[in-house]
Amino acid sequence: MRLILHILLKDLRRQRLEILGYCTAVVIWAWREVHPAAFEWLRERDLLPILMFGLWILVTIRAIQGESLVGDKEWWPTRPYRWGQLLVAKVLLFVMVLNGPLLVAQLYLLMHAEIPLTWSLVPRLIILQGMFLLFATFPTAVLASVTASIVQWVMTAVGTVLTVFVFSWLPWGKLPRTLSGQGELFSWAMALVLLLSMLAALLWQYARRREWPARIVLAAGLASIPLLILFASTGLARRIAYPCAGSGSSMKLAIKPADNGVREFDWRDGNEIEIPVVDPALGGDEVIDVHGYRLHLAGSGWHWESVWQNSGHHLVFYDPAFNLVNSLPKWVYAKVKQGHVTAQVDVAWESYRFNPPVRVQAGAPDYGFAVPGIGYCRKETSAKYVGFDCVAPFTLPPVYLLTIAAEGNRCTEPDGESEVPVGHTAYALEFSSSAPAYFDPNPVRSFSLMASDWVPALPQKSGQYEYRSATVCPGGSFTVRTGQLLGRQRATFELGDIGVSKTYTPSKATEEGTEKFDTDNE
Amino acid sequence: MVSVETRALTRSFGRIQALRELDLTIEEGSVYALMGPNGAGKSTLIKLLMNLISPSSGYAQLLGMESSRLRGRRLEEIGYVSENQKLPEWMTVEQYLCYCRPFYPKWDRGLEQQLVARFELKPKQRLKRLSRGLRMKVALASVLAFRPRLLILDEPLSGLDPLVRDELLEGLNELKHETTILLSSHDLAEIDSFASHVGYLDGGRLLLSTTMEDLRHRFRRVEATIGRSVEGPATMPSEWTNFTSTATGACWVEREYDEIESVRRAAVLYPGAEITAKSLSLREVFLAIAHAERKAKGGAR
Repeated sequence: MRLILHILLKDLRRQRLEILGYCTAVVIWAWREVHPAAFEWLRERDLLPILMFGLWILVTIRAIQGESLVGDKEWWPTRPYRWGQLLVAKVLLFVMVLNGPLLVAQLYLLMHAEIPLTWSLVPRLIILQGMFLLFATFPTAVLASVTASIVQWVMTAVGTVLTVFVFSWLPWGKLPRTLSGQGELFSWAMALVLLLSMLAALLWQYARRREWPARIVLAAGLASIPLLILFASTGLARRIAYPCAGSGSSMKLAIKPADNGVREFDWRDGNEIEIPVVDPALGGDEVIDVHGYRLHLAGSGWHWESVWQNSGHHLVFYDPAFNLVNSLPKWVYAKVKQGHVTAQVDVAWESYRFNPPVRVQAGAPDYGFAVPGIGYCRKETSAKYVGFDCVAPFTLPPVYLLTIAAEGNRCTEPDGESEVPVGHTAYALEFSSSAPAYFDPNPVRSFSLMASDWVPALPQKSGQYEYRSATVCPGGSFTVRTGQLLGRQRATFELGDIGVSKTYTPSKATEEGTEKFDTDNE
Repeated sequence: MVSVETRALTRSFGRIQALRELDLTIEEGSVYALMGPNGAGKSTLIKLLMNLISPSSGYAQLLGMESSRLRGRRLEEIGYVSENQKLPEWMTVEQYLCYCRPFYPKWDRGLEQQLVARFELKPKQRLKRLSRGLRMKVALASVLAFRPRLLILDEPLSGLDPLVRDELLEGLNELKHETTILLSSHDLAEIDSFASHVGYLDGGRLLLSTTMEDLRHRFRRVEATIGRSVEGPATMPSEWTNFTSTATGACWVEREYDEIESVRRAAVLYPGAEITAKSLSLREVFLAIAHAERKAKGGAR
């Protein structure tokens, strides 16, 4: 430990100027985050985060390259370093001078946002710092360990970015589409491969200082990316990302009985059908996020199968339906027109379960209130707007549902309309991916108490209510339900026979006209 | 006890063989001077010993451990200074010595201060402002202060003025009774009075490895004085090199001088000549070896 501190103190002395520069940038950034009106030119150009990250990189590179891992090998016989101690000294330096000031700034931002600093925040603060260490410091340090100077580091970094660009120019469009679960599988696999290759390179360099094997390991990690993309587009990756639901399927799918039909549009550039489907068994506690589907059509002596298509539909108790939209080849289109076609659909989805609802009183007009499981709100009043400014520490839950009912919100808007018309309820179903939040140095996330899914649907008068959103009235109440991910699944649903029922008159949009099909089943 | 040992040590760079099956043994407590012309393989050998490069074949041992495992704690007993050694430019002399200190359990603060005084180093002076000679002194002070069991110096005296060279050698002299020293050098004159053993490397091969005493005894300049110039014998004895006809006879360098046998052989070849033998300086010995080697290579071609 004595030697670790000895090396650490040496690095602190050597890099005091850039460390001071970084700390100053962090202080200005934190101050700037809570004073949005100040230094507008800095915000417009995103200069402060660039400066902070630039100094972060500089400190990391100089600390690693200060020990001549590449080039001057004669340095090492004059230093009886234990490589493990040396590496620990560097990690300590990064944690102390890079993560430390950022942590203080984050605590300040959380306090300024009036988020209570409780012990429950500690694990998330540690995870956040760990993510910065893993995804910012670590790759920078690895690259620094196989390069001899800052110029070499920059050239290698530019070369790496160019390589990724070259990868992006490959004809990926010819591959089967990947669903978001496959994309996530690819991201995890890529992160794992790259992190392992970087770890191997770093340890190799520190333990043996053989830069070429280390560089080759890194290049191999980079070269594996196209292979992983290829893998992610395969059926195997889809099956891994979305295990077959079998009898334990959290979703049931059938043709939507209310529409009782399949609409088909004949576009100029192809033939597209739209099949309305519904999950008739969806519970009040469940949410389904449909990631993609694949349609099978079969008739007498023929069969056709679409490619997998991405989908962004969410099924929830107040709206358990969506449309399967597919372009058909002309010969299939002709067969469907003739009628008596059997439809089947493979669906891949993610399911969530809501926690019990919590009723929240939107506080007295002048003070804030907590939204359980999400964050904290306070009243915000401006010349034109009275509403709530809501913040959450670090991340939002993976899913949450806001319910704003007319009963608890009787206020009116400036135009005299009720915020929530009597007899109506406004819902907001929000999904959140936690990962991007971790890469924002500001730990304060914002969310709104706005809802725009209306039940029953608002009457449309001159389009006025068509896209109207409701918010919670000051002093009003609302219900919040957070949810957690249950898992991903994949299943095949029999939709039964579909066939032509009647013909529409041509619309303005399509000179060829539109036709309507219905299902013979159900 | 053996401090340095190599067996069939070979290192190639592409088609060029920098070292060829080198067998070398350096006994503990000796001061071994590794000599040879430029490109002889001296630096390659030292880099192999210090695990800075890997051998193509063969092995090397330092203080009983294989050189390929030489790293970390094992360097606590081995000092190394090279001709172009880089130092942390941003540090002062004092900071540098202070930084090196905790890594060596046997660091001697008293000796450090003595060396700083002897080498006339200014503790507060930044390393980047030092001349090459002063930098070598700092490097040497930092390795002598921990009293290494083995000290390896790669051309430490090259390009230094005579005064600095003397000071450095004086510093080394202090420790030569407790430390095995291996140094490569072109500087034959200084080594002459300093080294206990000597090796001559040329073309990657160790042509000679012996004690200084033996070297001085074995290599002699022999003169045959006969009163007129004479030709060399039709078949030159293999021990002879650098044969020269003079106005009064001939002279040559005898590589395996024996007081009886060498004189008898010369007397047979030059009857009636007066035969005398003189000691050679280290410089003359190595010039003789180098000439013989060049001649042998020329003959081989």
